[in-house]
Amino acid sequence: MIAIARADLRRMLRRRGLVLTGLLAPAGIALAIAATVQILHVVNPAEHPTAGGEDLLNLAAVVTLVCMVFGTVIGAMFGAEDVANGTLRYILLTGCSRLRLYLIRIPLVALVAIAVGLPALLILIVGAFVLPHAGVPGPSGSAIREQLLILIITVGVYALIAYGIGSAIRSTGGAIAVALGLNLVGLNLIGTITLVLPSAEPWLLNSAISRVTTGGDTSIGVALLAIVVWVGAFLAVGLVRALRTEA
Amino acid sequence: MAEPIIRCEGVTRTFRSRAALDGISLEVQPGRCFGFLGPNGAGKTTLIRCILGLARPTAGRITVRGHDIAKDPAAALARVGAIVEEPRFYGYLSGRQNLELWAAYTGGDAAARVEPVLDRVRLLDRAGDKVSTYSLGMRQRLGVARALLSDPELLVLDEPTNGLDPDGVAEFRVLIRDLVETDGRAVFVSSHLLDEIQKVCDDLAIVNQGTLITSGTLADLLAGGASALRIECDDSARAQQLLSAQASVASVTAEPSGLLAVQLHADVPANRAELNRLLVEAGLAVSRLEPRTESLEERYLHLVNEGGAA
Repeated sequence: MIAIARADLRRMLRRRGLVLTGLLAPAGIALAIAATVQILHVVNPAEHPTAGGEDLLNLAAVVTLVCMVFGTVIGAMFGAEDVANGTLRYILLTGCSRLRLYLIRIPLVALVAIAVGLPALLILIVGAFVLPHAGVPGPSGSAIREQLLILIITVGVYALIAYGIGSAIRSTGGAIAVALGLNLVGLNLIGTITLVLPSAEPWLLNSAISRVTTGGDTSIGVALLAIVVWVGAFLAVGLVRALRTEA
Repeated sequence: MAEPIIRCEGVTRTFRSRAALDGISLEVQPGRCFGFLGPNGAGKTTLIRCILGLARPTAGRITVRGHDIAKDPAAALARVGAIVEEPRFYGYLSGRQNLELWAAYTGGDAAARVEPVLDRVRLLDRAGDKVSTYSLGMRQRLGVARALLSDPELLVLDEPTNGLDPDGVAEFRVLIRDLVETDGRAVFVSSHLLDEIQKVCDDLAIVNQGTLITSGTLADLLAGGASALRIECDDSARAQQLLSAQASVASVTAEPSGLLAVQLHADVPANRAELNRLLVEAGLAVSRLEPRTESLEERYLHLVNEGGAA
């Protein structure tokens, strides 16, 4: 089992184009953000007295959004790839069961998706310390932990939802499109249910993630349960299809 | 006779109301090359998918290496390698990286076989290149290499020479015979190419529209075919008239060259001397009378078109 997981992880990381883009795009955006605030600070220090500090770290939301997009692509791709590529049948012929294969890949997908986002966050953390931030506090341990938690949970959750969707769809392109549509638009649309049913708010995925990572009105327990239900539902749909789909 | 390495008993697979396989029963012996012959859409790939546990028969039972594929697929497939439809790989990995990945899935000592199997299929020099740069022939060879990772007793190859050039086909033929004769492995190879089957297989089955038409050794199949004579004499028209009246003769056709092609009933022992005497006693000068058995192609077309049994 460990040998399979290790080999599968190596395979995922050897998708160099995807992994490098996933690493470089958020990192590039983080660098661009840091460079922009520094330039603004240098050009007009009166209006922009700081470039670093917690102000810079708070811009990590942009990086998290980009990482979430790449996490979604990674999850959908690795969910759909073997069926779309015709390689699933050859994996099954080795005696590796569909269930085992599906379960092994759940942590791997989350791991890869989160890992590609970490360098970008690291750039912002370093920038927050080294760029001028007189008058505002340097990033505290709790602020760093909070941003790390936001990145890990947001990217991990959306990557796993995308993995479930990818496993349910036989085409890689289709899986990516559906997963992106759902993660970027669909879940926000579902959020409009609170207009007619305000009590549903604690159970909405985005609210639950927000509560777990940054605090909010709902209890953490309910929020965690909501996240588990959402991710579990999509993973369950993917599993049912993975067990039944023609290899 | 040894326990069959594949045994199909009444295998039926229906898609909605259409039967892709209709009560197929056959046996494949260890250490033999078994050809599964049939036109496109006859059900060859469907049966292969059932044998490998990738699809479930609607009815019937399949055992592979003595294990029921439906009940114990892991044991049945433990030493089985296959190419189904076409060999598929991760194009962004090299040939060697692909095999290392499949060795990890296979487990056991498969990882130690990666280099030897690459050597066996003559891909060592390109093993470091991405599979996306491989030709179809190279991917087919890499497919065989992957199939050999589990040191299989049985190789199942679905139309393995599809899309290969003549050199590639000849190379593949040598490889298959080597796997059978040198390694003692059983090879189940499906094809719609008669020549290919005739050149590599010891046994064969012919399937058409999901129904098994015949199975047995290649020699028996050919021997069971209708035999024919070619006759040359000084009065073809009269000879044709005389021969057509004989009970043992199915048909007589005059060829453009003037030779008579005489088709004999398979179930009536051909008595060439009797026919020769008939012609000679009728005053005809017979200058040539030669037996001619059906080729596999003729036998195949006869069986498929007639839909009859051997």
